Amino acid sequence: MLTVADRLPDDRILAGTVRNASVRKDIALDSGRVVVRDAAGTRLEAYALYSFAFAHGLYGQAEAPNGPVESDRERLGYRRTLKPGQSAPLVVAYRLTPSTRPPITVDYGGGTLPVPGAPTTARE
Amino acid sequence: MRRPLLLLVLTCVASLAAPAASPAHPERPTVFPAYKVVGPPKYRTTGTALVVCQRDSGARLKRIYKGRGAKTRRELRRRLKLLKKCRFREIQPAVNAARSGYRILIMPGVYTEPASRTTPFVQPGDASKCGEDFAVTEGFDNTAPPPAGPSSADPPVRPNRNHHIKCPNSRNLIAIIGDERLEEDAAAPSDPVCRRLCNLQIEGYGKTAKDVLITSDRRKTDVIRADRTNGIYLRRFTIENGAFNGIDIVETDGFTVKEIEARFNQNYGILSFTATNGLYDRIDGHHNGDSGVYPGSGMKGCALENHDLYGTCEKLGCQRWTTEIRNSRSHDNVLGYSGTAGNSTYVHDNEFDNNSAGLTTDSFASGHPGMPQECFKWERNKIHSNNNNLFSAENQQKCAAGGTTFDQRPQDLVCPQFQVPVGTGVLVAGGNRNLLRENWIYDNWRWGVAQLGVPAAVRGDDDPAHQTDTSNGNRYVDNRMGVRPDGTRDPNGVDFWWDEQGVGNCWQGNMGAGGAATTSDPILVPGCAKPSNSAASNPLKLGRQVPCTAWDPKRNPRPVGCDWFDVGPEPQ
Repeated sequence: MLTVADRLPDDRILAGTVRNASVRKDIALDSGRVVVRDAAGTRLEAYALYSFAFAHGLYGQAEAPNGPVESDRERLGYRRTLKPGQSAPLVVAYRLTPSTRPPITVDYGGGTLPVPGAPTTARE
Repeated sequence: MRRPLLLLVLTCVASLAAPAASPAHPERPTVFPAYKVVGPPKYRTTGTALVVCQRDSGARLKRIYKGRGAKTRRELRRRLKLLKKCRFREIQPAVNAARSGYRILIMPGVYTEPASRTTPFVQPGDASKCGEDFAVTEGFDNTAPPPAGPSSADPPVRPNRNHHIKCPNSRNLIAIIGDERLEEDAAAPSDPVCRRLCNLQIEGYGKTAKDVLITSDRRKTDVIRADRTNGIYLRRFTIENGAFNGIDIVETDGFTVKEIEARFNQNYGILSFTATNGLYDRIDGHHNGDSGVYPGSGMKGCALENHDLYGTCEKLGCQRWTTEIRNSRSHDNVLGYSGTAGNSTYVHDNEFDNNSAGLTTDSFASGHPGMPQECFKWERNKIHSNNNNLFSAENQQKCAAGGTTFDQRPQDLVCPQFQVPVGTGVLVAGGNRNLLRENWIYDNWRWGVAQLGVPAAVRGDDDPAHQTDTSNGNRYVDNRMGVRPDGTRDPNGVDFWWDEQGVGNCWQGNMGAGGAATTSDPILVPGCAKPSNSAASNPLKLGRQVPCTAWDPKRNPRPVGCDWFDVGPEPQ
């Protein structure tokens, strides 16, 4: 599903699930590896999390000034390990610019996933 | 080598893959105390008194009580007489000299606690008697594989109970430790018992909270730490500049904080954690980087004995409250009120205004006893004008400027510790069986009241049966929305926002200005005769909140897709 942030008309939020379709191998997911590109191969400003709910880290900014601690990374969806057949939620946010050319693709580091359909509005 | 095939399935997600357990803890390992006291402690005028004063206390008293009225002169005489008994210039030595049931009377003045300030701030591994007394707050039972990505270098350690016993002023400007038995295994502390300094009363002896100022160095974690101090009563002073909390009440059965101004603390003005039978009364909490008041990890009123039984209130009902907050104001903070696992709170007749968001209670974090959150009763509060955007680019730049730390920043610069949806009156994120009733909720430019579900995996609970165990049984009834108490229309962005997940939720009897209908998203919300019955949230709505997880003031102050920090124009 694709939606638009309420007050950020250029930002798109893609929500779905990813599934490890392998029959033998685990796959380690790292949201930091996710890259969003347009048809011209231009990298868009983007962010991904393997989570389907907002959450915040256990430690405030003063306590963890260098980003989420290890346990939070797992909990907040920065990384996941999927066993064969297992799935995980994925939310990818990206920002369009006037020069962005569809279609958009999501590169998760081990391959590329197409973003089907045109961006919808928040109310669709 | 063939790579594992990853499929993207664009569909609604009803459940989450389970992450590894992560029982971390932001405090120290804590458990609930036994519930013995009936109600919070009451003010006493009896009991041995120790008097603390400054050189200028007498002059201050004469200024404070300068009138010619008989009562004023009598009060002045009484205080000047007490002043002659002053034997302490600092509060900590008076605490050290006190016994259970004592009163500590603090005469007007500014208290910086120089001896405590010069006590070394002990870090893990330091050559100190408490240098090894830390809890690794993550990693217990964490069977996660090595991290796939870069990891934080921040050591996830906290002083454990032994640390506070051996070096009470390492992290606390004023430490009140009610149980000095060392733990054999501090990661699994003994059942909380108050053995000393129980029923202690500490009060400012001026006319108002402003007459006694306890000010820390912005390095000590807590200004006052009350740990296993059953029956503690704190009254009438101003407390400021804690690097974490102004007042931190931990594992305590029975506490009252009254007429206290708590300000300029990095996180919380007043925090209670695994404490019960508590009363916050006439508190003024402001300019704190998280919230003015935080009754977190509260004991559930339905589980006063078996604290950790899962789902107890679902079977038994909420029963009694365990922490009350009344007649208080919390303003100009990131949050007026917050409480992860803030259970069984009775919050009434307060004002929460001009924060980034008014009140939140949630089930977001792991390591908080009492999950998931349930059973608040909030009524007759004024919750308004919570549009103070402390996440503006300008403010975030000030906070990040030059890598400054709390002790290097201007006192009145409030730097957010956690992200919140600016412009929100009330956010219930993963709450159950809560009652929001007869409040005035207006002029919050995003949401008057918002409710969203939080899957159990987010708090480190991987049980598949628990994944939709929040956002159930909440009632929003008879609130006045978008209208001030004087009847002036002052709309919220949307009165009620709901992610559409949960069973047993209802909205009924809420009214706008002049009896007008309230606004909501979705347009129709269930009434209490036929409450909600939906296991899944609206993924479009919930998904739109997810990018805000990525907020990081240094590296990602405005995450793509997160609109929480963009407050729209004032609704008309």
